[in-house]
Amino acid sequence: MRILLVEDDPQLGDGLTVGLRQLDYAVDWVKDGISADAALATDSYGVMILDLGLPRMSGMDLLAKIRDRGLDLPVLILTARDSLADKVAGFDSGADDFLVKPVALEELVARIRAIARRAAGRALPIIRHGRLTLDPASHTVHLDDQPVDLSAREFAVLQTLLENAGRVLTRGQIESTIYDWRDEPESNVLEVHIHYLRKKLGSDLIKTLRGVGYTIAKP
Amino acid sequence: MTDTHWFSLRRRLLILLFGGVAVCWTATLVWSYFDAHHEIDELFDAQLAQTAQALLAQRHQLRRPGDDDEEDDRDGDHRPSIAHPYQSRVIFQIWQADQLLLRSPQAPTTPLVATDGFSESNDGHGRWRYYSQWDAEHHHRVQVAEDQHDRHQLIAKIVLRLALPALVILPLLGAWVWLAIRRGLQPLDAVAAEIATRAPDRLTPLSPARAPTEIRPLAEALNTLFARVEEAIANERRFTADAAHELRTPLAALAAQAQVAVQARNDEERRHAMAQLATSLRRTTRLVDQMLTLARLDHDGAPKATQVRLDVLAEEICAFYGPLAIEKQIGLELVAKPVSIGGDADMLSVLLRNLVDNALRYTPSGGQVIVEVDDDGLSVEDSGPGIPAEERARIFDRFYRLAGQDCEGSGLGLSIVLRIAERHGAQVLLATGDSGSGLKVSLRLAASAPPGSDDAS
Repeated sequence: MRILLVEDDPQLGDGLTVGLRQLDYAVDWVKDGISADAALATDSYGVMILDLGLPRMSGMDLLAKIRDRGLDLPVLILTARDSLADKVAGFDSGADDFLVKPVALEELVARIRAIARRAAGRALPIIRHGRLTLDPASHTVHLDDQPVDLSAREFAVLQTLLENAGRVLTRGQIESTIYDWRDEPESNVLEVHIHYLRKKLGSDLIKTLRGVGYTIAKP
Repeated sequence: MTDTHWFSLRRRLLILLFGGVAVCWTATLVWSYFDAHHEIDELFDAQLAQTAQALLAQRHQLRRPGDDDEEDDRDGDHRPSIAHPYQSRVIFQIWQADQLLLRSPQAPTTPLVATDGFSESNDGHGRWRYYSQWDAEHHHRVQVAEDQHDRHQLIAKIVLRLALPALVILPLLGAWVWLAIRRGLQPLDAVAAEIATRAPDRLTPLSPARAPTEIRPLAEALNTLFARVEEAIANERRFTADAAHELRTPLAALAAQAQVAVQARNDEERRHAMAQLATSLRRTTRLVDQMLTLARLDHDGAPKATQVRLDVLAEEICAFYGPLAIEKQIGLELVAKPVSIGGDADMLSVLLRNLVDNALRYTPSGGQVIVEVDDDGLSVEDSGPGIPAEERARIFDRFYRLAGQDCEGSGLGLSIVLRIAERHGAQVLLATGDSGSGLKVSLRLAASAPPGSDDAS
């Protein structure tokens, strides 16, 4: 899953970016509201982590603006402001969760998973698809109750496809949810991931629509 | 309860008033007693003399001595029977030379008294008052005696009559005094009750206009105290709120970097996280330092006023920051002439350190920082990005930082500078550097204002 982190504090921003990447999330970090707005306009993100006290455009203004534009990605506010009024205003402006700094990385990640799951319209934490189960929290995949060893990227591609089961995703859409600005994907890397996924999970799971993209049928 | 419990205005007033009334009343009684005594003595003596003269004038109508001796029992109960309680018991003798011409039934046959005029004696039956008069014309001597018991009794009765109303009036007066004191001191109770029923955080001023004149200064002093306490509480609250808020982000950064270091997948990641952790720690430490400095400035009393050599102070600070300037390849220059001002050396040192620290922090490598000390005060000029004119008013606000700065700063440096300047009655001016760019911060000492003229409340 690709996350947009909007945080103006250099050390906290760096720590969260690296920490989330260590947990196999793709993370883009911007330091002000305007840059965040621009990033949201060009790339697609699974979750946005938003600080409120930002230079140039405040977090609340940004949130109001993107919700106004109809952007419905899950937004988690991470701020030093802990007043009730701030929390209420945050939720009312369209935030899906509100965390007060400091927060443990584990909790942040758990909440990201929860709001991403709800945004995908699922209540159960584990994604099931026929004989296949995928657990986003433990990053494990089982086929017929047997664990399947997947790389982080393979897992991310599979999760994206499973979450959008029944829809055709273009290469660009899949790439944009699993790669951040740090590592632009090489031209045929996605094909390689798909190849390995088919090898490990069976060739009939992921269907190719030549020239369009990939899809997993609804179970 | 302490001993001061007994120190009560009500009690004092009660004791003083009651004591005064009691003393006055007693004095009046004593005075009346002696006065009555004197007047009654005079009256009785006049009567005695009158009786003597009446006897002299009417002696022929009186019986001769020895005519009727059956009642001659001076040694027995010679008191005459009494027709009226105030009737005085009087005996008399009339002598011609050594011969007793006449006497009252109870009078002895021997002369009552040896000397003429008034005299007194005590014969074992009572105190007697005598009057003896010599009638030179008829060669008679009249001697009259009166039992003083009567007049003493009369005096006692008169005094008792005088004292009697006091027994009724004194308790009434006491009750009145007590009530008057209670009522009179009620405004005190009202003020005390108003203060007592206050919530500790409600420090709205008392209304001195409603307080009696006597305690108006007290109410005003309390109001001043309230204002000071309120300001102190406000400072305290602001500090706590600031601390809670401003420490969250650095703490979050520390927590995140520590987590990153723990779950690092390789040495390079771990080294990066450790370096970031160290930076976060340094920044957090500096933030806490700055906050404590500011809190102390808000709390401490007036600055210790000593003579401070500004140029010497600037020299010390510049020497301290020399290595950092060299490391950052910034030219640090001091232009100073001897200037001595009255002020707190420690505070001024903190002020100057913050200015030089800021200048070095925001000046890029290869830049220039000039510290100048002259008679007007001191200034620190840098060749950094400067502060846009529209931001200059807000830059002194606590935790305010210019947007888009990657430099570590607490946002407190200039607040500290301003606070110290205020405490020294000095002004802080922000200007564009003399070269047309950068920032020049000047501390302008007000020549007339003594250090600490800013009320250190």
